[in-house]
Amino acid sequence: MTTPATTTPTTATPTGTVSSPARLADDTTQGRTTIAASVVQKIAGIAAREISGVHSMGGGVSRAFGAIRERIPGGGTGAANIAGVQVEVGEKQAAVDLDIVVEYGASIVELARAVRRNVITAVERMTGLEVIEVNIAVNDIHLPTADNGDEVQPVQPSRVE
Amino acid sequence: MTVPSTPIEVPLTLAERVAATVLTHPGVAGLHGGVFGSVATYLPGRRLTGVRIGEGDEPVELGVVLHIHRPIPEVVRALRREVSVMCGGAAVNITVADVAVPVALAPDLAAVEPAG
Repeated sequence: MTTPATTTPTTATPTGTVSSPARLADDTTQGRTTIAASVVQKIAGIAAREISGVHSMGGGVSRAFGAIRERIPGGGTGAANIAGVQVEVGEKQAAVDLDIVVEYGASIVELARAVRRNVITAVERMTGLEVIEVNIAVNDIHLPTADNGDEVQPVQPSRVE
Repeated sequence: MTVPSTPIEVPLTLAERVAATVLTHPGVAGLHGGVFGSVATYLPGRRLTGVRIGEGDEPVELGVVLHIHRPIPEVVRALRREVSVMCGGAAVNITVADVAVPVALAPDLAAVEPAG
């Protein structure tokens, strides 16, 4: 057993990106480096959450499954941090799909741009993989009243005592 | 541990030495059996997960869990260099199976400890 699942044997992929650092270049003769998908998932998840305005990660379905999966022993490696992050990892490149819930009041376009930039920077710096795309799905918006109504009064306060 | 000798004749001891060397690197959080848990050396009485010394021309295989605070390629390069020297210049295939996330960085991820 020599090839883990995340390894895709490619034949001389001519990456046209000059800007990408010459990383993992010593692979062919001295051995291969395989980075598991969960590594990229965690890094991307942390990088996305770093941006203020991101309330949480995950869409409705993945959040529901994540909540279940967390309770299953061995059910996925760390369901909490991979909620809302799907990745595809090759030998030199990675693609990231994010499901995020934004805070109310954040500019979603700006936020998505910032998340994308941070995720690309973090994954490229940490793993040496070239991130070819970051797709962001904003699945929900988090209102301040949803958890605790400390800013906005409840709609129907009792008028009589 | 033991005095460095010709590696091929004592593969089991070599695997243990490689494991010890890998674990001393500050960027390494632990050893890991790889995606399928197949990276392991079978020793008398126990199983050494995360290191497999190939026979002959086969590459050395390493499965590691790294700390998240430094770039992976840099750590991997250092590990490969060290291990390759120990194994007589053999190729070293390294699988980064997981990363260890510090509590301060993501409190909700802290419960996740690297498996294996």
